Amino acid sequence: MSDLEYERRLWPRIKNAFRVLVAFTFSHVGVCGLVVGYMICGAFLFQMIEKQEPNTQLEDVRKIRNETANELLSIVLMFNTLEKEEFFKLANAAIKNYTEEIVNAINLGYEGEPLNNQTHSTSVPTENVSWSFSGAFLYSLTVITTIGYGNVAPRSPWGKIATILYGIIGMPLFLLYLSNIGDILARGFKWTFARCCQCRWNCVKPRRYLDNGQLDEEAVPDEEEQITVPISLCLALMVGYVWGGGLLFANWEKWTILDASYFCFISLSTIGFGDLVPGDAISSTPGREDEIQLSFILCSLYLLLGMALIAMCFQLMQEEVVATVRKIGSRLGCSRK
Amino acid sequence: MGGGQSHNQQGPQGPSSSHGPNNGSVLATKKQQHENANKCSPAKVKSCLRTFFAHLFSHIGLCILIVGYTIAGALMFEKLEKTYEMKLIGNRTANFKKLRLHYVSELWNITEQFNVLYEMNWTSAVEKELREFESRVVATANTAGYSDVKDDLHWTFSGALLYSVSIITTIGYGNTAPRTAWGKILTMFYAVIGVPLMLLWLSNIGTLMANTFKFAYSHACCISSNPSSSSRSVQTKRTPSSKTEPSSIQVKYSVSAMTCETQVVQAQQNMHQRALNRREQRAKLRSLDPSAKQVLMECAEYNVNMDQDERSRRILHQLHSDSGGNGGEMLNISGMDEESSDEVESVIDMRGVTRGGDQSDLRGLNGGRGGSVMEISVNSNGMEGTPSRIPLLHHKGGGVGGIESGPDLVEVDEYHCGGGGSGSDGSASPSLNKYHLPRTEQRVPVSLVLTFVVLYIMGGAAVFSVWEKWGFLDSAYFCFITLSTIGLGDYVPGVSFGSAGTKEGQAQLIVCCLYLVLGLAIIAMSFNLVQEEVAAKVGISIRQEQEEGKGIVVVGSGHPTLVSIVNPSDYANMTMISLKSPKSKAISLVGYTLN
Repeated sequence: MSDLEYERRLWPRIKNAFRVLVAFTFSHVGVCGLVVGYMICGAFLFQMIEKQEPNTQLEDVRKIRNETANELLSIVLMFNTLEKEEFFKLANAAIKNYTEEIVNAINLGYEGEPLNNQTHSTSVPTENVSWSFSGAFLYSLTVITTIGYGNVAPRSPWGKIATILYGIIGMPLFLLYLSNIGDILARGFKWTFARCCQCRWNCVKPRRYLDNGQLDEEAVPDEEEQITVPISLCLALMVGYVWGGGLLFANWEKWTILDASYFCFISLSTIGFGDLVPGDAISSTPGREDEIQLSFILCSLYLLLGMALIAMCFQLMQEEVVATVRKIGSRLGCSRK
Repeated sequence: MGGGQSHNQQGPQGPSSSHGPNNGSVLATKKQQHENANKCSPAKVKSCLRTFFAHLFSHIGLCILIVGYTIAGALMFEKLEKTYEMKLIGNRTANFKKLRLHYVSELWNITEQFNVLYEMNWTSAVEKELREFESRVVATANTAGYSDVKDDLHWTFSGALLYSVSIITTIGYGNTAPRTAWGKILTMFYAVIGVPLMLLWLSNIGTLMANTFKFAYSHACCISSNPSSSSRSVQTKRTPSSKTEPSSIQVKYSVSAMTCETQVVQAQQNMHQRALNRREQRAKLRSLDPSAKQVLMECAEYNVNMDQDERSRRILHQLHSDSGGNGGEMLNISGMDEESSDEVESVIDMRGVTRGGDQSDLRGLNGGRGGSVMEISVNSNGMEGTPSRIPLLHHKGGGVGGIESGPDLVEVDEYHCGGGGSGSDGSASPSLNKYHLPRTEQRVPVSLVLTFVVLYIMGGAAVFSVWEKWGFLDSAYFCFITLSTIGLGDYVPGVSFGSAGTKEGQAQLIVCCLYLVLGLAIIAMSFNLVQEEVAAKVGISIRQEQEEGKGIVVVGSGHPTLVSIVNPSDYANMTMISLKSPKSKAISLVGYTLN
C-alpha cells in the first residue's frame, strides 16, 4: 500500500472514529453522563454566582433594624412625659413597618440571623444551605427539567442571565437524555415483558387445539415487535412510583403521605410549585445542614430516575395507542378510496 | 443541477396525448379508472365533510375546551381554597398582632426600666428585642408557607385562573399553592387531564400557526419558485411523465404501466381491499429520476460484479435496456411483473426511517397520479417518546393549496444493505448535487423564527417592566422563565406588593395568562417550523462530514433529492441498499451506503 493510499485510508478512519465518538456521546450512556456533568458544572456556576448574596442581605436587614431602633428612640424622646397608649400606638406602627421590611427581605431570600451571633461582625452566620453545592445542584436540575421550584432563585443579575443561558442549552440536552433513556428503558421493559408473556403462552400452549384435533400451532404470539405493553401496566408503574416516592419523602421529611405524594406528583409532572421542597422542614433548625444536603441529593436522584421512567412509560403507551388505533382504523376504514 | 426544477415543468400531457393505437386503450383504461373514482362520489363527499368538520372542531373546539377547562378549574380552586386562606389570614393577622403587642410591651418595659435614658443601653436592649421579633417572623414565614405575610388575598378569581393556567402548562409558579388536602388531590387530577389536553391544543395550534406563517412568508417574499411550486402539485397530479419530450419508448413504458393498472383494476373485484392497495403500490413502483437511476445502476453493477446476484443482474438489464432509448432518463419499473418489483425491492433495502413522514394512506395513488415517480409512504415512528414537553408535531402531507398529494419527503438516517466487499470500479458518479425538495412548502429560515420568538420575549419584557416596575432584565428573565415553563415564581405579575387586591392587579394577572398561553403557542409554532430545518441541516452536515463514508440519495415523492453521491470505488466496504416493503406500507427509497 503506497503512502498516499495509506493516508487516504487513515483519514476516513479517524473521521469514522470521531463520528463513532460523537454518536456515542449523544446516545445512551454518553448522554446520561453528559447531563449529569452539565448539572454539576451548573451547580458550581450558580454556587459561585449566588453565594455572595446573604452577606449583603444581612447588612440590609441590619440597617433596617438600626433605623427602626432609631425611630423608636425618637418616639421615646419626643415626649417629655410618655403616655402608654401613645407609645403603644406609635411603636406598633414602627414595628409593623419593620415587619413588612423583614418580609420583603424574606421574599428576597433572607433566612434570618441566629440569635447567638452577638457580635456585629460581618461573618456569615451559618453556611447558606440553599446555595451549597447540593442546593445549587438541585437548582440546576430544576432549571433544565423545567420543574422550577422557586424556593431558591437567583437574586443577582448575573445569576439571572446565567439561568437563562443555562436553560437554553440545558433543556434540549435534557430532552435528548429523556428520549434516549426512554428508548432504552422501553426496549428493555418490552423485552422483559415479552419474555414473561411467552412464558405464560408456553405454559398455556398445550391446551389449545383446533377443531380437527390438531394442535393449534398459530397460537404462539408473533414476533416481539407485535407485543405492546398494555397501558394499564404503564399507568400502574407511574402511579406506583409516585406513591413510593410519597412514602419515602413522608418518612424523610416528616410530611404527611398526601403532602409527600403531592410533592412527587408535582415535581415529576414538572409543574414544580415549590411550596413543598425537601429540606424545608429541617432548615429552620440550624446545625443539620448535612441532612438537608442529603435530602437535596436524594430528591435530585429521585427526579432523574422518575423522569426517565415517565419517558419510558410514555413511549410504551404511545406505541400501544398507535397500534390500537391502527387496528381500529384498519377495521373501519378499509374502503378509503 | 437544474434537473430538479425542469422535471416538474409542464411537459406534454403524457400518454393520453401520445400517439399510436395504444392511445385508445390507454384512454379507455384511464376513463374506467376515473369512473371508478367517481363512483365513490357520495362517499367522497362524506369524507370531505368529515375532514372539514374534523378540522373545524379540532381547532376551534379545542380552543373552547381549553378555555372552559381553565375557567372551570379557576372557579373550582377558588371555591376550595378561598375560605381556608381567609381563615389562615385571619389567624396570621391575629398572631402577628399578638406578637407585635408582646414586643411593644417589652419595649415599654425597657423604657420604663431606665429612669434616666442611657441611649446606648436602651438601644442595645431594643435591638435585642427586635432581633428576637425578626426571627419569630422568619420562622412563621417559613412554616406558614406563604413567604409574604401581608394580608392580600391570593385566591381571587384571577389568581385562581393564573393558578389553573400554571398547572396545565406545567409552569407552576407556586406563589399561589393549595393548602387544603382536597385542593392538593384535585390539583393532581386536574393536572393529569389538563396537561395532555394542553399539549394537544399546543400541537394543534402550533401546526396551524406554522402553516399560516409559512404561507405568509412564501407570499410575502415573492420568491420566484413560488408560481411553479403552487402549480407543481397540480402538474404532478396530471402528468404521469415529467420528461420534456415524449418518446416512443416512454409511451411504451407508460402503456405498460397502464396495462399493469388495468390488470390491477380487473383484479380489484377479486381481491381484498388491503392486498389490492399493496399491489397497487407495487404496480406504481416506477420511474426513477436520472440521478437515482444512476445510483441504482452503479449499485446493481457492483452487486453483479461482486457476487453475480441474479436480481441485481435483472435490474441492471432492465436499466440498461432503458438507457438505449431515450437517453436513459426514465425507468419504468412497473414494466416488470410483480416478482420483479419485489426483486427491486429486495435489491434496495432501507431500514431505519425515522423522520419526515407520517403514515400516509397513499391518497395520492389514485389514478390521476399516473405513477411517474416513486411513491413514498413512510412507516414512521417519528415522534420520539419524550414526555410531555415537546408537542407531538407531525408532518402533514398537504401541499400548497391544500392539495393532498400524498406523503411527503422522507429522509433516511441510516441503512444497511446486502453485499459488501471490496470496492468496484464503478464509474465516476455525478458530483455532489444538492437541490431543494420542491415538494415541501417554502422553508422558513431558522433565524427568522428565532428572531420572532426573541422579539416576543422582548416585547413582553418591555410591557411587564413598565407595568410591574421591574427592571428590563428582570422582566426579560421573567418572560424567559415563564415561556420555558420553568416557572420559578419569584416574579409573578399582579401580585407585587400592594397591587394584588386591586382591579389593576387582577387585570395584570389575566393579561399574564394570555401572554403566557400565546407565548407557548408561538413556541410550539417555532418548534414546528424549525424542526425540519434543524433535522435536515444537522443530518446533512453530519453526512457531509462523512462524505467519504456515506452517500445518500433521498427520493421524494415527486422529485428525488440527491444529497450526495460519492465515488464508490474508493472504499473497502461498499454495500448496497435494497428496497424493502415492510408489512404495513411500501417504502420506496433508493440509496446506498458505504461503510
